[in-house]
Amino acid sequence: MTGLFFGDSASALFGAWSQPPDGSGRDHGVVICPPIGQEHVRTHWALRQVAAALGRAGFHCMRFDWFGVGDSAGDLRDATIARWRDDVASAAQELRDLAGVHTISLLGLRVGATVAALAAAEVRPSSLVLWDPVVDGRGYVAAFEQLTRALLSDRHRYWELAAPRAARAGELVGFDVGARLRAELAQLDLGGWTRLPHVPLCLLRSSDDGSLRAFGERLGAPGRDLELHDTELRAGWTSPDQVERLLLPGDALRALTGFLAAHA
Amino acid sequence: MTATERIHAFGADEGLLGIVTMPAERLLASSATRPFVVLLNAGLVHRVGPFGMGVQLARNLAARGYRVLRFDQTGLGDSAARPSGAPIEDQVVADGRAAMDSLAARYGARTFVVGGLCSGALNAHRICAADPRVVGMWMLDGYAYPTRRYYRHLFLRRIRNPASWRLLSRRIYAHARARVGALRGATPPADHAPAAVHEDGRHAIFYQDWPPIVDARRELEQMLGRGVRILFVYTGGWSSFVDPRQFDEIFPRLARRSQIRVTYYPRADHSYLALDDRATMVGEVGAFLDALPTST
Repeated sequence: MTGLFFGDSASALFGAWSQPPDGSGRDHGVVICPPIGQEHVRTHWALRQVAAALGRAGFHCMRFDWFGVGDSAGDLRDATIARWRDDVASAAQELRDLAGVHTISLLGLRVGATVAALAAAEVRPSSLVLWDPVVDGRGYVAAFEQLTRALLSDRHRYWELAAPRAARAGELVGFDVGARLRAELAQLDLGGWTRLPHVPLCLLRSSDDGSLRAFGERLGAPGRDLELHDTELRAGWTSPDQVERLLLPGDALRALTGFLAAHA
Repeated sequence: MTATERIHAFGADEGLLGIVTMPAERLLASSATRPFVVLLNAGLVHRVGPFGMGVQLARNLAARGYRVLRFDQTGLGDSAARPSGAPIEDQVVADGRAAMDSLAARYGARTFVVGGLCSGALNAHRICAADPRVVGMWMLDGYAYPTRRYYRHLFLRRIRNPASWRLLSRRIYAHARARVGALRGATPPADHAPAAVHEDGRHAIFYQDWPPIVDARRELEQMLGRGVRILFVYTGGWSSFVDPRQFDEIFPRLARRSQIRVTYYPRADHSYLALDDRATMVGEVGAFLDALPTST
């Protein structure tokens, strides 16, 4: 694995480029799009394992951090969905340049999956893996506002808590999301989106979310090449006691590796 | 010009990955006269830190004129796996030394300040104790051993708030176990470990225990004896610490006590979830660094 910064030097993105063992590489790269906020922190280890497994299966991979997220430049409150769509295209181009691959797949988790789907028209992936995508942006923001309140009044977190604390404006689960990005996240509506690319698509579900179930049913319409996997994981994205627990990839690893290998 | 960041690979087979944040150009000359700051992992969380604490610390300290490295220790984040059989304590010190060696070679750094949260605080202690290049250390929710004040605090709170009896009894039980465990060298209670440890099956590798108090004191005195400045920041989210005066009960009549600053934020949680709490802590660490002697 090689760590690197890429893109515009004034707002560089952090990337982790991993390659297959010598001589076993496919002419195929996978761009891994992570979640944001504390979900990004929770899932770093899992996505590193995903990249390693895909490397063993012959794929070049680029894990990257969005503008304003993780080790990339910028503040989260200054990010926009449009900027993140550009980030996907930038990461895909960087992987093409570095690895010399001609074909790209996109793999995203949570908001990363949603933005990957939105960016697919430009990146033109040969396949798409959506892992617990945020289908209903309004519900996502509402759930995280509720989670923030729950955490700030948790007596196991605040032993000396005298009264429930209020979050600062724009504060979502420990991060300053800002008003603009919060509004843009709330407008995400993958369920009503009609421009999902007609490429082989894998939907991985590791949480019991009604919008995800409905999304899966809609994707299951005739004419779409869809693989649907309900993993044994219980990610607990909005559960207070899971907020600081690292997610392990579990059986999602085999499902997504198998799907990508079958469609490379 | 704003701060810049550079990625470095270092250590055995260049298996450790870190990011250096450099101050803006106008601060570069003065930053070279100050210790290089090294941030350690908190539990199993990669270098970005819980709620982005590592990145926030690095960039804020760079804005104050410090060169800062945040890196993943062996087996964590984007760094290489730990060689089987290597004791975690030795690996932590080896990683810290590899980081400092790399910064010395690349940037000419000669002195360092190390800091961390929870297990990161424990590892800061280990690295500081082992390497004389470390001139400063901060520990977020570091050493905490129960004292009379601690037990009295819990008792009084229980009297005032009968609804919390059950909670408090669990807490007292947990710390009674910790105390007995420390005497026997047994495994401490679960709430001393990072949350992630309990579900991922790797706790046997990453679980770390606080040293017996006599060892902690001896090493602390050695550090102070060579002039190390130390900041202890405790929170109301750290079940083992309840009052800033508890520190002097843990380590009474400490020589060179003036080199130590102890701060207690009763409103904050252990991992600084709230933006305001994190900003306060980052400012406290910055002020601590500003007060260090400037020489390299």
